[in-house]
Amino acid sequence: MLVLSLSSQIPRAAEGPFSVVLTPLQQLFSGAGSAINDLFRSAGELQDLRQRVQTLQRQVDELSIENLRLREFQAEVRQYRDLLNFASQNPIYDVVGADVIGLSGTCPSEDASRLRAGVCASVIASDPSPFSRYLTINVGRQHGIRVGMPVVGGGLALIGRVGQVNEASSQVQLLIDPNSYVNVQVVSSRATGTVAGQSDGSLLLQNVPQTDNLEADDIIVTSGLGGALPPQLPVGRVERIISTDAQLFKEAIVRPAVDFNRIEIVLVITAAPNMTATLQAP
Amino acid sequence: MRWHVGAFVVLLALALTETSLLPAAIGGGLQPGLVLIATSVWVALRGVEGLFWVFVGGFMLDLTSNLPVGLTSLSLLLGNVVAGILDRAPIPSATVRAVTWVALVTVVSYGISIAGMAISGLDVDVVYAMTNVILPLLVINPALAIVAHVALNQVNLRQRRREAGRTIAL
Repeated sequence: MLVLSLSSQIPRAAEGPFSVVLTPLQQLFSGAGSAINDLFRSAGELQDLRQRVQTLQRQVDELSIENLRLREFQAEVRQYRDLLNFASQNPIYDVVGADVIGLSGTCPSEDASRLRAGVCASVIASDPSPFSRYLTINVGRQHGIRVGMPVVGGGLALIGRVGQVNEASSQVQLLIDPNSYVNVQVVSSRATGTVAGQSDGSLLLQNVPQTDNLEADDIIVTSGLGGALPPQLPVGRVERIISTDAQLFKEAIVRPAVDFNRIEIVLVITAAPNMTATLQAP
Repeated sequence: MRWHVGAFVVLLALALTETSLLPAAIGGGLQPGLVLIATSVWVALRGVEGLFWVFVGGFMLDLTSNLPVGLTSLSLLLGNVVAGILDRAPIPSATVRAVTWVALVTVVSYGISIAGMAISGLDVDVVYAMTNVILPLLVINPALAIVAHVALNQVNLRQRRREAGRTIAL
């Protein structure tokens, strides 16, 4: 009995000091064991996880495609809405098919591309000189293109004017070319001015009288003054006003309505009722 | 004859890449002067004989440019002539020489383009052109000249061997 009693007491007495050393080791080993267990379990679950990942990836792909389609439909609807608004506000222009350009990503067939008011063209090159901003399009003299004709991109925003015409191609002087000047109008205040291209690829609105109201986010459209361009073609929005009250005219930086780096399809307006100077050089 | 046709096709491909492929692929911004690089490296390797290809390449770019016709080819030619005149320093490495050559042609030819535009009455922001166009291209073009030199040097060596063989045959 004494022996039994002592043998049961010794471990208990030794438990305190041992536990100090053992506990961390136990924790370490336990952790290692758990890790090994997890490892084997993970290996076992790997196949299952792989299948689930594949299933989820498939779902993500399907949803992404569906999302893309919905965005395209949304953009299509927006373009149709813009066109309807534009057409109802400007019944003198017939720009049928402009929305098709944006949808198809390429020009429609030859018959369809010969629109009543415009000719569809694809951008095939840009000027090799880094100092000028021109694009080359695949329609030229044989398609009825003349120097000075306005060129619009998606959403009928003005991108520039035809600067040079060859037999089967033309060069379009972009709005952002340093030698491009366009008469414009501020939609909200009806103030008129000039938008000039800048070397850094931005647009500068200038010659707006100090007495006229000009604010950030104002929409800028062509004024049609001079007859070189039809009126009401979107040019951009006022980004910030850079002039001071002391200056004779107001000046502002304009954010273009189109991304000039991503122009692929354009529409050349060959005729418009009040566009009288289409044959003038830009 | 076959060699000339091949060189013409390669040059045309470079011009099309520079004016059509690169703008579509990288969407605006600064693009390397591929024709400038290739023709300048060729002049650095072949001497005066290479000027013919400079003119051909420049003319190809002229066809797609809205700048006054001949300005691009003239600026490239003059750039190479100036680089040839200044090529007096004893540069031991042929690659370094080609890189220096392309850098010189870049500065001179774009400088002539700016001057030509100004004479033609076109607006050009010289400070912007210097800082945002010529300076970056002074890095891009010479960097690509290294690759061009490696490739064109092989063509040059093959051409030299062919010429030597023809001389012996005569």
